[in-house]
Amino acid sequence: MNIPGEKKTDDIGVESKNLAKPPQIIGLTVNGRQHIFKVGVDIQPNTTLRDLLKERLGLYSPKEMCQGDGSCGSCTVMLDGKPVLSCLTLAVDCDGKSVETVEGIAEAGHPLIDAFRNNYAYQCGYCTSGFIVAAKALLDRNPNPTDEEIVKALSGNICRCGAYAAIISAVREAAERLKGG
Amino acid sequence: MEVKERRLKKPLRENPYLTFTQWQFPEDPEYRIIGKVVPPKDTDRITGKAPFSRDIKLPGMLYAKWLTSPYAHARVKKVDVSDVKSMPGVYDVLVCGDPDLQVEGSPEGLGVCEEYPWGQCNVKRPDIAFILPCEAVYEGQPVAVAVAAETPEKVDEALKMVKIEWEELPFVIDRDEALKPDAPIAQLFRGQDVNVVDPVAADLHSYVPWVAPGSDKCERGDVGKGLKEADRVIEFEIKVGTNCWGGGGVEPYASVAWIHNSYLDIWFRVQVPWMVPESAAGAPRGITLPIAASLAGVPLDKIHVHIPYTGAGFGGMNWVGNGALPTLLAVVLSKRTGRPVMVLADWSSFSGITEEEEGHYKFKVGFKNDGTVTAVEIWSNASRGHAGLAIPGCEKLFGITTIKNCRCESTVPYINKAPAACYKHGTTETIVLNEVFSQVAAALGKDPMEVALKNDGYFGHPMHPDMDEVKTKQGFPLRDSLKEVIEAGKKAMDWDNKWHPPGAKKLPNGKYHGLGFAWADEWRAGPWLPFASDNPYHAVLYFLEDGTATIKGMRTLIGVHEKTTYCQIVAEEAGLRYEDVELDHEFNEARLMFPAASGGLTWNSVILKELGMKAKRKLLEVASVHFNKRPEELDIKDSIIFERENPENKVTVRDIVSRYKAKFAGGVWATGETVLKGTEMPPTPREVHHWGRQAAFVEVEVDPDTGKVDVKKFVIVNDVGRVINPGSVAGQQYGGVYMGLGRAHTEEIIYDPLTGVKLNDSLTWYHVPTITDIPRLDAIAVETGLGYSAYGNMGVGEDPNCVARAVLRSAVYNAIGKWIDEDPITPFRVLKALGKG
Repeated sequence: MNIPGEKKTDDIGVESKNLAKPPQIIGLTVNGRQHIFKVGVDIQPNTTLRDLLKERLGLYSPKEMCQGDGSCGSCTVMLDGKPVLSCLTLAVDCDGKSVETVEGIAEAGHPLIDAFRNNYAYQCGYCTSGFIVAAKALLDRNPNPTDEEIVKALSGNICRCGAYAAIISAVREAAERLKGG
Repeated sequence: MEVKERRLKKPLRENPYLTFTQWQFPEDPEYRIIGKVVPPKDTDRITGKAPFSRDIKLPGMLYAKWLTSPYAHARVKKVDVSDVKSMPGVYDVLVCGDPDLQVEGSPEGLGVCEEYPWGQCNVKRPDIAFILPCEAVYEGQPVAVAVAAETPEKVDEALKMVKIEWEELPFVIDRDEALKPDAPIAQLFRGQDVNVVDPVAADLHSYVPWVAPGSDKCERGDVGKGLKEADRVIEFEIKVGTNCWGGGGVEPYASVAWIHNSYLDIWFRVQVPWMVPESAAGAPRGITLPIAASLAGVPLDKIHVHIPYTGAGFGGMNWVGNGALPTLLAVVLSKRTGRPVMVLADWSSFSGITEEEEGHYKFKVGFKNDGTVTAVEIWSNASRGHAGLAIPGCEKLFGITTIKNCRCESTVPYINKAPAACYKHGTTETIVLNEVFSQVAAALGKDPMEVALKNDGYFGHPMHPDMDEVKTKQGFPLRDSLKEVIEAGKKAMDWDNKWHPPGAKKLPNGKYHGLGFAWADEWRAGPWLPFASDNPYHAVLYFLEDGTATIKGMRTLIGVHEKTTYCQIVAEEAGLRYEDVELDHEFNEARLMFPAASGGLTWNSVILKELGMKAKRKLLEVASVHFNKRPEELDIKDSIIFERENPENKVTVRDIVSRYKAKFAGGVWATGETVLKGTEMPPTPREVHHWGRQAAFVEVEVDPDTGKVDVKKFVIVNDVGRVINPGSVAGQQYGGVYMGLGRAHTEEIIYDPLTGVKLNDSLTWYHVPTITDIPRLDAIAVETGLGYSAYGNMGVGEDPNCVARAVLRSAVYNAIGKWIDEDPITPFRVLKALGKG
């Protein structure tokens, strides 16, 4: 058992990092709905947030283009209002936090959805969820981004079909709509 | 010919990074829905609700994966899975050599190849792939053992427990090395004592009819005579490296099979779901389902096919190893376990394929001082597409130039890399075509467009006047597509003001300025098949009592706005509202609508146009009873049927369909034969000529200190014949350029020469262009009507990538004044060319 604040050493006397034991039950809010999971039963300590969302909650949107090394951005979700790579985020670290996926963004009627549609800002759609979440995070913190700021905010996401220019148009249109334009 | 330029309204495709322009012509008809930007149908892709293959979940479903080879070449000596079988949650362990995979005459067990039933897939076929081989011929290959368990995590744990004794074997990853007499044999199972692909087994003739059966070369005229006629002869060579990520799409492959109550349900991600004859020779493609039925022991009428959304394909999806292998393994495991099984092909992203252009090319070109090319001789060892034999130059140099003396020859080796497959088909051919003309233009100090126009033609003939009669007879306008795309592109690039001799312009920032130009034909000029005599493709339209209509026909939704464009055409022709038409792409029984990626709209628009026309005729026939008028006295617009002479006398389609339900019970169906262009022209099967042209113009800055190439501006011009949907066309143009530029200078797989193992098979180290790498792009769609499809339209999927892939070489030459003989054009290679490497 790990006791917070207690110093521990391993068998050869080296001080180890003080790791808190994962909670036995975690609770998190996903797209406005509360969920509880038993660690070791519903999920494992090494279950990623992406797998929890997909396997336990049936949310399709966090994808796996790079298969878990965090280099494609297609699994991006919002965690307490900030974009994170759900393939590199442990589910147990999300205890007490709020998650938003593109399903939630769409349900909330965010103008990004219409803007992506209007601008044909997708082709196969496999990466699209990650782009929309990253764009939502940008618009939440900066409602009036420049093109350069849009590019920077979306630089961690890969689209092999190459919808980048249309995505910039979509983000600009969504920003205008949020301003009432 | 007067050109009417029409610029689309903002903001759809006009921002600092992309401007989309259509060049239309005064005589082009205006349509109600076609050519318009309509709300796309497949918005599930935006809302996160679109299920892709990996999202499928069935009650009791098991998961399965393969072991993958850690070696470039190795054979399994011994497998011990005793610890695996007893693991909790493990349901099945399949080992190579298992009796369920045995096939007479195939030591590696059940194999599939692209065009033949598996009984005919002998080991000499270069495109063969085995479900579970005992010999690994490249690192990352699925091999030796497959495990099915309750969860993907348990599969991973189980695979780690497999004890396997490998026999490491000598390997060869360089194509030149593989052809040397003392080279190690790369793929022992083939039973050959050399690495050369057998041209008879490769059967290139079925793809390129003018290559003689069993030949490894194509020839026209007398190359020796052509070289003697030349004022100058140049020789040069290039070596092209490997790039592969995303060649089969971005979604790692997955397939689900479920054998239950004598039925087989399949969810899969393949390019061609059902067997269809594509080529004029009638070679069947899309063989997965017949084989799956055979393995499952069910007849074809007991297969239910489900085609989830697809994370793109780009051509590599057509390689049977990507789509067919996971599907067939899923069938085998479902049969053995009695459970639905999802096979996860995690290896497919970086180990599914290598791309088609990798190889060594040697050129000898003779030409006149005016730029006329009199002879071309090419030898190469590239394995362009379909994991088999290829002869670069045999398609485009032969098909779209005036060159009378050509010889293109290939000696293709087996090596220890993943099979080379199509990746935006035509990439290799476009590189070869442009290498010839760019080098000739450079040698003569001429503008490359002058040389291109001088040699543009058709199978050794000038386009004008030789092909005018054919064009006229087939109902085409006498347009010069290359001239028109060049005119549009030069203007957009401001070429005449920017063009300069090689290495002649150094900018104030210390960088060299360069311009590049590349061109090609449109590969998908129209449906290829012998429509009139053996057309199996069709779609069905059913009207429903609420006035809506559903197009039924099997088709993979690969990500090119298929639902949207198909519904646009049917709604246009039938007089329906766009929003009243939907596409059911999983309709098994009308499975013959052409389902693949390349030219999907090019092929299907003839079927859809005819379908819409027949639907309209049906509605008017039924409505004529209601109006007590003859059908020709009536018309339909926006789902309202009305009397032409008295438009106020009207009724809705919904009212007619609901009132006369029985009349619509059988639906309407169409094959497209009646609207196909060029059907007047014998012989049968009808030849599809490639009249349409594409061009790329690029402006670069090259840093002589770092070797970095910055693309400052790009102009892509595609003769698409007719724009069906501007949003879709602009997406294909932009996406193709993006992909082509990545493959031209930032994407390359590095192999360890000591082990043959990939060193950068991660998106962290393999640089796919991101949004930060955007150059300014002007995309121009020229609409000449020179395509064979229903509206004179032709494809746009392949070519933006192909010309973008090819154009950077000439731009960097123009900047630094030196050709780079290795490709992709990385900073290291630029510095090497500058004598700094």
